[in-house]
Order: sequence, then C-alpha cells, then structure tokens
Amino acid sequence: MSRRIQDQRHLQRRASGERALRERVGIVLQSSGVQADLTVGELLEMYARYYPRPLKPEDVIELVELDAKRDERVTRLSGGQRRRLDLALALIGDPDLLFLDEPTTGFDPHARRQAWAAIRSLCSLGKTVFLTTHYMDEAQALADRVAVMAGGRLAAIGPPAQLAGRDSLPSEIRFALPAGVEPSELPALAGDVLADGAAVLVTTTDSVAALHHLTGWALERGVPLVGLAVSQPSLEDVYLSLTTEAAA
Amino acid sequence: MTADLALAAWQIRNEQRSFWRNRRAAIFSFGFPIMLLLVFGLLNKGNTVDTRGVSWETFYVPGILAYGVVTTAFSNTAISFAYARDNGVIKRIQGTPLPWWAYMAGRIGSTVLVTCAMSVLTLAIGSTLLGVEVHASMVPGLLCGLVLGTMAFTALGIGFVRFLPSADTAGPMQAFLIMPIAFVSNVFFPLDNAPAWLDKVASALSAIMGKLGAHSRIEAIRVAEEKGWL
Repeated sequence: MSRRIQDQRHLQRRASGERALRERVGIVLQSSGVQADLTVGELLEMYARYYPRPLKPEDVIELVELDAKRDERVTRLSGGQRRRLDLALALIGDPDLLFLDEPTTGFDPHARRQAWAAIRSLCSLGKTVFLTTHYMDEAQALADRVAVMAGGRLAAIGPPAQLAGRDSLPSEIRFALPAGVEPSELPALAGDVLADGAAVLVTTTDSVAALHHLTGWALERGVPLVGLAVSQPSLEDVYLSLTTEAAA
Repeated sequence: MTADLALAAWQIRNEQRSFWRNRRAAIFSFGFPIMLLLVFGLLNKGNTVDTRGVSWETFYVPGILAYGVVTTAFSNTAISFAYARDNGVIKRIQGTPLPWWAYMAGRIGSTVLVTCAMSVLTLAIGSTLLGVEVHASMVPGLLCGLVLGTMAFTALGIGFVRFLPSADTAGPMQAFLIMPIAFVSNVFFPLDNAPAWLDKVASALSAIMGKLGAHSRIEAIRVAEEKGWL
C-alpha cells in the first residue's frame, strides 16, 4: 500500500473519529450565528437530523422556555432568546459533554440565576459541563472543579473551596474601631493587625483564637464591634493573586 | 452512506427555505436579471441587431439567462457564504457531526435548483412576453450547461470568499468582478464592432473563468441561434 493511500486512510479514520466525537459534544460559543431566516422550530428540527440520537425538538424548546417563539424567525428574537436558542441547539444532540463559553455574559442578575439553575439541572442529568467565565461567583456557585488560566497557561486547578490552597490561606477579620478606642488599646491578637482610620483588618491563620480574644475584650470593655465579619479569601482574591503572579 | 445522502438532501431543503425567505437575496439574484430582461427586451422589441441579423429579444434571452445564473451561483453564493463565515454559522456547523461535504452539497444543490427555476422563468418570459422561439431540442444542452455551470460558478463563489476581508465588501467586490465580464461577454449589448484589444480581454476573462463560464455558454447558445435552432 502506498504511503499516500495510507495517509488517506488515516485521515478518513480520524475524520470518522471526529464525527463520533462531535455526536457526543454540544457547544455554545459566545457569539455564533444561525440561519437567521428560519424559525426556532425549523432550526431545532434541522440540527436534530445531524445527530444519531437527538432529543425531541419540542422537549428542548420547552426546556429553554422558547415555546411561545417556536414559529418565530431568529431575526425576530431578542438577545436573551437568541442565547437560549444557542443552548437549545447545543442540547439537541443529547450530548455527554457540553461546552459553554461565558454563557451569562450580559445577563441581568435574575436571568443569571435562571441560567445557573438550568446548568445545574444539566449536571444532574449526568452531563459534563465545561464552562468558561470571568465571574468568580459563577465559578464558585456552579463548579465542581475550577481551573484558572493566566497568560495562556493553567495557573491552578482544583475544587473551588481548595483552589491554590485557598482553604489553608489566612482568614481575614474586619470590624470598625469602637469610638474612643485607640488601635494600640486593642488586645494582642495572633496575626497581623492593620488599622486604616476606623476600619480594622486582622489577617490570621487562627481565626477562632483571634475572634475569641477580640470578642472577649469587647464584652469586657462593653464596646460594640460594628460590621464584624470573618472571611476566607474569596475565589476572586485567589484568582487575582494567581494572575498577578503570572503577569509578574 | 445513504443516511448521509439523505442528510445532503435535507440540507438542500433547508438552504432552499433560507434562500426564498431572505428577500434581499431572492430579489437580487432572481428578480434583478428578470427585470433586466423585461426592460431591455421590451425597449428594443421588434428591432434587429444589425451585426447579427437576429432580433434584440433573441439576443437578450440567452445573455440574461447566463447573467442570472452567474449572479445566483457566483455572486449570491459569495455574499451569503461570507456572511455565514462572519457571523459564525460555519463555525457552528463545524461543531456538529454534519459532514462538511453534506453542507457544501446542500449549498450547491440548492443553487442549482434556483438557477434552474430562473432559467425556466427567463425562457417562459422570453417565449410568451417577448415572442422568442425556444426549441425543445435545445433543452438537454441547456440543462447540462446549467447544472455544470452553476456548480462551477458556485465553487468559484465559495473560493472568492477567501479574498473577502469581510461580508460587507462582498457585494461591491463581486460586482467589480462580474460586471466587466458580463459587459465583454455581450450580455448587455453586442460588442461586435469592438476594438481588437477588448476582444482579447474578453477571451482572456472567459479563459480565466473557465470553459464553463458565461462567455462560452452564451456563445454556445448564440451559435445555436445563428444556425436557426433557437
């Protein structure tokens, strides 16, 4: 067998492999057009034929709540309806793996919560969702695993709660300095104490002990600790420190 | 394989739907040549092309027919393909299991249907309104030229998209290419007394556009005309 025929056979095998792969994948790109002169129902019927085991177009239309727009041409859909059509077209082949590229960019908070609920329900159907986002709260709310990309490289990967050792990073205690109390009068706390005007920030690896001392002292002095809050570094903090490191 | 052929047929159906619903495309590639035929044909009706000894109507029917095929197969394909590329339809299709050849077969097959419909309409208008004689013996040759010519020009149109930086430029760019070719290929009026250099340009252009191009097909029909077949 000549080299060329071998190459061709290899390409054919690869092409059919790719097709088998595409049958199991759904993609929602940030912006990708559709045949805009067709209706929602026609498009779903059209794309359903490309897959070996598609879902029923009516079911998918219902899932993305476009029932009322089934016979409407794409040109007459609103931006939000277009995004839902994108999702419907990605789902029509009943994919095992779904790529969502910044699915909630430009959504109002209400629409975002709805989209999150839809994505969670996809996960509960056993589908793997690969989602890219710039919103760290979105990653926190939806992801089982988060990967941070910085400068084209993978900077960190892990469950959102433990990403880049987030769970072992020092926590932060914030409160407002009570009136008439000087920063120097505060009790000695395990960690760094930073007073910026009335705002106090304590960074500590032992938040339980620090809080215990602080609240004990406040009760004893009979002073309030307005705005007392304890926080782990947020996913956004981790992201910022990872990407700043990468940029440096 | 039969399933894939059915997919290609399915694509033709969908492309047809899209084409006829997009009024701008339908009017541009379908209505415009018909309008030209009516305007030119009716304006000059009854007069004879001095250099050829045929009536002006007879001169225009095959020329406009070929021009319509070219605007549909080449221009409309180039424009709509450029839009499909720019707004991401192509990207979306490539993310689905639809084989690429089936998509292309849909585009080309649908274009062949449109050019066939346009030819029928042109000949119908020619034979009824303009009184041009159409002979049944011409139909097989016409059909061959039509199908092959449409496929060739559709392929050229798709290739042309490669040179279009954006879809917005597709309209003017295709006109820049097609209008001179139509002009030197005697679509609008005969260049029988044209200077020799223009003849050379014409044959060079038709050589570039291939044997199946407008010039050769118009000439084939015109030869038939002159021999009294049409």
